[in-house]
Amino acid sequence: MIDVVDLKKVYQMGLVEVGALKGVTIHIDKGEFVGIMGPSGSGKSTLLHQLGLLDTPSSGTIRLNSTEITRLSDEERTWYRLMHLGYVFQDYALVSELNVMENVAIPMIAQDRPIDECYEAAKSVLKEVGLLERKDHLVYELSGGEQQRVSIARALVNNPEIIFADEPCANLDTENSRVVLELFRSVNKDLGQTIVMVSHEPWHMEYFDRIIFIRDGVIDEERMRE
Amino acid sequence: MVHNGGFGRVSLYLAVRSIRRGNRSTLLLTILIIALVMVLMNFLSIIIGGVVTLYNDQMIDYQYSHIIIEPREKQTYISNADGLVKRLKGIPGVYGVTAHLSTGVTITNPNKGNFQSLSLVSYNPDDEQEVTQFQRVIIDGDDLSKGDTDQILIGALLAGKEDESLDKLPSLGGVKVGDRVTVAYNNGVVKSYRVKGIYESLHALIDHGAYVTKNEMDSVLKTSDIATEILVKGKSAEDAPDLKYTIMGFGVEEKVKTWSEKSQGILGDAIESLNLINTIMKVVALVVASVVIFIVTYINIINRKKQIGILKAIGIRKQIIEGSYLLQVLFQCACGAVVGILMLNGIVFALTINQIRFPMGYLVPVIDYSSVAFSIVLLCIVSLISAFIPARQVAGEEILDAMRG
Ligand SMILES: Nc1ncnc2c1ncn2[C@@H]1O[C@H](COP(=O)(O)OP(=O)(O)O)[C@@H](O)[C@H]1O
Ligand SMILES: [Mg+2]
Repeated sequence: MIDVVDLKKVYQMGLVEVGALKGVTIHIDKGEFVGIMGPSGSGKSTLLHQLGLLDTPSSGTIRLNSTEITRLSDEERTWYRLMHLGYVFQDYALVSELNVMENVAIPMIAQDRPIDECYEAAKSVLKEVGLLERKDHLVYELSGGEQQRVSIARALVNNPEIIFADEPCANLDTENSRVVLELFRSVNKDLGQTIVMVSHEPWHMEYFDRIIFIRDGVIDEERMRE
Repeated sequence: MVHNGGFGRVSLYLAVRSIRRGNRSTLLLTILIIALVMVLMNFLSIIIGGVVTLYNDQMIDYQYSHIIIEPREKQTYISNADGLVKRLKGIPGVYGVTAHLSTGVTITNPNKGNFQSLSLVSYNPDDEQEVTQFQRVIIDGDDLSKGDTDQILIGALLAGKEDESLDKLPSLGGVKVGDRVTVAYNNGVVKSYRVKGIYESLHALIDHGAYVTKNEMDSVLKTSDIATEILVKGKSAEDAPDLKYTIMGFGVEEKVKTWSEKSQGILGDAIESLNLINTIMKVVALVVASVVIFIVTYINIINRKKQIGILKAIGIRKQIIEGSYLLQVLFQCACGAVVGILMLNGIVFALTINQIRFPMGYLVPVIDYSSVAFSIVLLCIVSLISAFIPARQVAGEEILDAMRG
């Protein structure tokens, strides 16, 4: 499903080059719930951004479902993100001018599907995350944990092939973190949803099928063996 | 794989929600500014339009009527004037016809010795009242009647005031109804006339003139059946060009002109300089509008940078995002235009209640809706361009940069 070969990402900071990814090769199967873990600044987010087509790598190849995505044009990448991928961010990244249901429906509306169909789909995923009764609220009226569940609903609404989540629990207390992780696990188990999630909380490990450790921009082979 | 679907619809979806849930006071302020710019772009047109209407009305009412017929090429007089007047009266669409005969004279006020040289005009009072409006603006005394021989009608500016320092033009120094004035004709005849009436049209050229009956002038000049001009009144000022061609179609060989052809030179220069000021004002207003729209959209968009990043991250094309901002600006322009038109009508209403007095009368404010429409179109174009620049810039940023806010 996901095939990454010798992926490198170099940031140019003035005259200094910062190597955030220094040759990463990984393989993730369909239906896996994979955790990417490692210390702060090790390159977890950078890796996720490359996989999620939010950024372009300096070198290396990424195949998603046998599509060589590094070769896609800007327009094609935008379309690919809309049609095939879902995202959950640390700061929820909801659109403040849209209410809860509209936030969930927007990726589907952007596909030019009939509004009613989009709202029906949004309501059904909101029900799954337990927020159907909050559908008409504005985003800021919800707690952090609720906002993150809305953002998961948005990631789910288009039935994406892969969901990418970058530290989705970093701003949540333990209780809410558990709700979010349970939600991911049930989506993964019940729907066979492939999920790639970045985390640095050791206690999250129990939820993952597999963990990829990363340190200083490379896969930490030693910890992998544990 | 890539398709263009949903450009307008998704942009509209986002724009509507942005307007509904965005900052209300910024929106109202922007609409107000657009409305004020519209007022600024059209205010002077209203005044100019009013002044032009005022001038035109006076020219029609006292000087040219709708159609003016002049002697043929190289001739001083219209010969067979009576026959022509009769023929003209029979043409459909003609409401009144009057022949004028004028000649150069010197009028003297024997009491003070003041004298003025001018062109004395004569008319047949019965015909004249069907065409011009002298009888309505007599401020003292009476209009001429057909049989009057030693009576003269003079304009308020020519009559003048006792205290000549108050006069706007050189005058006879305060002539009153019942006074006698001496008229010296070009052919040597000198005759005393009693002032029968004084009129004030507020048209300076006319108010510095004098009139006698046509019979009287014919007898002094020993002429008959000639005229220097014939005025024709039709249904309305707008119909004048049609009437002109109707009259020409009836085989009139004299020069036939409409009031507007006749009056072009008179107001032309003044109106042209006013129009230039008007154009400059419009351009300045447009520049102000474009700068304001640019700043408002820029701030608006900068504040929503993170939101734009999010939308792009989840796969919404940047053209859709740009489109939503352009639609918002169009909405602002539409509201601004409505408010602006209401304001313009308010101004017209205020000017109608508290009329401004111009030297030639009270201003009648007129909204020129074609100029209003043109200013709306210009405003929309300028606003769209001003909004497009920041919208494009921010929507074109890297996703991760934009998402950092
Ligand atoms: N936009 C950027 N410009 C320059 N350096 C960056 C940028 N983003 C990340 N980095 C650097 O790349 C490295 C990896 O960062 P990141 O992937 O965010 O780490 P993590 O998510 O594991 O904490 C860090 O050294 C960070 O400073
Ligand atoms: Mg990170």
